[in-house]
Amino acid sequence: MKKILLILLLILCTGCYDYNELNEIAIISGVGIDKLNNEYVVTYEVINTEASKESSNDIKKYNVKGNGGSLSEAFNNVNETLAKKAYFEQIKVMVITKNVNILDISDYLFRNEKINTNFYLVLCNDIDEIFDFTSVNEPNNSIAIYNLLKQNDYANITNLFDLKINTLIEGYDISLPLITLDNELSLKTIGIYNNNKFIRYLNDNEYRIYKYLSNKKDILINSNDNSIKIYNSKLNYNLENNSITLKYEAKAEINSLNISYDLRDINSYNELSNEFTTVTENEITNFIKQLQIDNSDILNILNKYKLKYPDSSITFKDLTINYDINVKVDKAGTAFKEVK
Amino acid sequence: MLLVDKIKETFNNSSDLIIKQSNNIYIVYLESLCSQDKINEYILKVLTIKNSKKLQDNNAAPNIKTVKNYEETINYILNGFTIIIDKEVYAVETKGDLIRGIESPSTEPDLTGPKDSFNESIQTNLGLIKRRIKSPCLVNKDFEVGKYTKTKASILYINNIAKEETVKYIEEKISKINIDGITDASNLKQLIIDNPKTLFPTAILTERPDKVSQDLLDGKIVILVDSSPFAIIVPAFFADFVNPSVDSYKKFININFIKLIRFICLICTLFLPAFYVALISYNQASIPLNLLINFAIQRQSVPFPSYIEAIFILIICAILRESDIRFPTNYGSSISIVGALVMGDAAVSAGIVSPIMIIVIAITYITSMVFTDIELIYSFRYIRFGSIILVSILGLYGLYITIFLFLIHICNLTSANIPYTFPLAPFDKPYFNKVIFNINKKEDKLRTSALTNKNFHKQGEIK
Amino acid sequence: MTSSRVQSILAFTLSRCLYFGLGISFIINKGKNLSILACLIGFIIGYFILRYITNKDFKSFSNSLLGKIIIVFLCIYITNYTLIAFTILASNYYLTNTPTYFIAIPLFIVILYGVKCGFPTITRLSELLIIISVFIFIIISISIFVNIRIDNYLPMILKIDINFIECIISTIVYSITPNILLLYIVKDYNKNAILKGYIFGSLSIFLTIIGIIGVLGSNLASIYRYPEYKLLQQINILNFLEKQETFFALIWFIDLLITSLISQYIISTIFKNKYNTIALIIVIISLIFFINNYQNALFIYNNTNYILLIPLIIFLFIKSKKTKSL
Repeated sequence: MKKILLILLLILCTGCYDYNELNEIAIISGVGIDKLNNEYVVTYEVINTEASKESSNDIKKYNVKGNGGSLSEAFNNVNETLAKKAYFEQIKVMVITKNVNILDISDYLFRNEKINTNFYLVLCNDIDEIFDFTSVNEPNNSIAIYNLLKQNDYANITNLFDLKINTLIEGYDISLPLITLDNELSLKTIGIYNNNKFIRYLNDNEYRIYKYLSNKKDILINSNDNSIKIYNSKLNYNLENNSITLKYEAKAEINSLNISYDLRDINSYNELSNEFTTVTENEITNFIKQLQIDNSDILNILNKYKLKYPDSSITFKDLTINYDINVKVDKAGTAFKEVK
Repeated sequence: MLLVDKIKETFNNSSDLIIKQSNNIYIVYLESLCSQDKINEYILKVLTIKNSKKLQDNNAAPNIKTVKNYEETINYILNGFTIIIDKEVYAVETKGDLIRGIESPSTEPDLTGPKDSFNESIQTNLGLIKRRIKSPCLVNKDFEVGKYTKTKASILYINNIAKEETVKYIEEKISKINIDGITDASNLKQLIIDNPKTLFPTAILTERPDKVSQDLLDGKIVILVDSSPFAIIVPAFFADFVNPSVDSYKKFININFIKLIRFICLICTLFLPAFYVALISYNQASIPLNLLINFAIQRQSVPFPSYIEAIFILIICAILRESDIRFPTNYGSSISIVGALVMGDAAVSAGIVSPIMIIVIAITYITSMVFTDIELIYSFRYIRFGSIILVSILGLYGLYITIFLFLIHICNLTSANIPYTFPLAPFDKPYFNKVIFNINKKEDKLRTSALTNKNFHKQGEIK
Repeated sequence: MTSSRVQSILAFTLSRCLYFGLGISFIINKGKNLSILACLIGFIIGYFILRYITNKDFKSFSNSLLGKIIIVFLCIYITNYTLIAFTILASNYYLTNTPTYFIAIPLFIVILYGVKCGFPTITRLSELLIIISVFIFIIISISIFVNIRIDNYLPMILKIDINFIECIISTIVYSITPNILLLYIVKDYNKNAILKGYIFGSLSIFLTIIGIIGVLGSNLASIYRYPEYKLLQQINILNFLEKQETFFALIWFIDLLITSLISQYIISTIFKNKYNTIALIIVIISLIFFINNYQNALFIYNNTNYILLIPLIIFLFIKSKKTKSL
């Protein structure tokens, strides 16, 4: 036993292969991937650990950039320019442009054991612009983007990179949030995909509709200068052969009124409910028709249909969708009458 | 007289051997062991009364024995008796008070519970125990250990609770001892435990008579050693060292939380430095990013690898602790202040260690102070260093290897033929409820079957 | 005399041991969404097979030459498998640059030390480690439960094809065959205790497979080499502790360690004095021909179910009745 221990010590003391002292690794918080002229451009956002915490003048992060014909080449080139060992386990977000084919990059990222695939994928128009920006609140842009995603209820497990890829593998469509620079980093809309082919960005109105369809709270709906706020919503599907009925039920609270209603009377609520149901129905119908034209099923409607009829070869474009929308306004807030 | 000369010869004319003669009666005693007052009172006064025919009858001394042979004579002299050589030979107990009084326990203090502790006299210690257990079933068997020291050791157990096999096992172990001498209970402890090579203590040394009485009632066996203020309790399990028996004086709900804290302390004090080194130098992914940035910034100025850093401070702390114990208490208080505050602060500003490492090691040492058994604390040190060395080579995987080795080691230990990991492996509900997770005292009715095979009921009807 | 509690625990670990890095990945790859159903059927059939086997008495058979050969073969195979799984897991996720020798040798020293300490020590060790194991399992179950999406289980349309039957057979083999070791080493085994351990073991594996498919989806799960490890990566305790999979993987380390300890201990009882040499040979063979040879490791991955089916069938058809002692 002692001999074995001695031999073990002799062997093991010759080297610690995976030993990475904390100040010898470059902690990468975010990666940007762009594809220009058939060349991948990879940018790392590296946290500068030399900076002291107190002084605000120190640079808190720096960017490293490199390119190559394939993704692995590009990654290798960037790693060579880094003075320290690249450390990928703490990546929070990966920023890509619409030129990048998501399935193409995912194989490298999945296979590489040094890269942790638990991060969020976001879109942007110009990676350099995003990464070079220095915010006052959060010097590290990747963490700032991550916080932004958290604010928008996007940072949950279903939106992680590997589960997005899962959606793609199963042949369904995804959507990714778009990060834009508008004095501060902001999330204004999402980009929609047909499988992994980029289609377009939603406009503001469509994004609002998308948000309330995906059960987000506190979304405004306007009609004739009145506006309501949805506080509880539910999206269900009724499946029949070759058609699907979209059942949207929402409960809303009055946000602001411009036309006189007596909110002590229950009938006014019914009136308001009817008014907003038609508005919402119009909005949703138009939105989904537009999606069908774009052939991008970001609400996973076809997915629901295929679960019941897995053998049908129907596409999202040809799917007949019926609507059953019901918005119920049942809260008046703290005022019974309009102020004007 | 032949006998007196023989005694003189045996003791090599030792200068404290006093021999007095009056009226053909010799009295022999060792000055250093006897009380002069008692000799005056019990013997010299009696001798002056001329017509006393039977010395034994007129003597007020509580303990007079007739001596039969020469070996016994020597034995009595060595034990502080005075030998009276007349037609017959008598031994009168005139032992001097060479002991201190009963003081409060210094190594195992607690807020509640009795405040008396053992002292160096085996008679006093026995008395302290018998005062608590007033039953004829409490048996004590005396042994003599050591060729020169002839130290009296006494095995105590409750006759109709303790297992006979265990008692025999311990008796055999003691009677097999062949040694020049023992000077303390800890000497004897090292001679009777099952696995002498292990780091961990497999017998409890305690100075609390109430603890001893409790354990006796559970069926354990206690060994008292003369001239030692500690009693040995066997068998002792790992859980006994983590949770002291004074827990039973408190309400069970409150104490269970403290037991949980103690368990966390145990894990912290064993593996925290190694865990920190593993995280900081191998598995940085598991640290939340913001915390990792802080760590990295604070470690920036430190030129050494983190494991060297950890070993460095651990050794300094070990030195501080040792010097604190050895140094006379009058000067001692300044040492810990110098050590903890000045050196820690200076080491950080000198760039030798990072502040977080100081925190980690401080937690390690503070948590180790929860445990009172000094041998246990010493054994933790080995595991701490061993785990850091393995972790510096293999990272978190090395930590797992250390944990597995540690567990296999303690699983392999036994104390009086009962597994050291006892109430957990093999699982035993009554003892588990006593030591690891207390239940309501009213419902705690059974005694563990590992320690007794006759008398299972602590409360209620005896069947 | 081994207590029935210990027998349950050992049966629990042994019926889980072949799933890590082999069973789960293999079954999900073959069965996709249907693997949940296949596992369930497999476990139920396995239960009756185990009940049938535990009714028998193997004392005379295990003393015969054929019995010994089969047991030794099983032990070597399972040790080899656990070494591979242990080492490849560690070298993929813990120590990516360290040569596999340095990962396997410390592990082997742990095993050797455990075997030297004897069977009582191993049983006590398993009793202690099972506490950690159950504790981790509960944390995993609670934190993964929130992330399960029902959509991932669908569509589950029963198509009984070759893959489905292969899934069932594999499940039976993976969970029953290692238990034969337990029947060999515990002479007076308690049938009910072993069955109880088996039920809990297979239930935990079943829950793991449900979790993997529910969180990752069967397509994604079949991409990964270690879907069970990837499942652990998704855990987010109390919304702030992420990426703690390095700690949760301890649950698999524990299974593999106890299994290899038991199989090595059996080898040591059969070979007695020559054990040290034999053990060394096993490790060297395992290191050279399996751990550092990807093709051979892949062979084990693909064919374990059929290789281990042979001893199971032999044990099924031996005629011997257990004399009722109790």
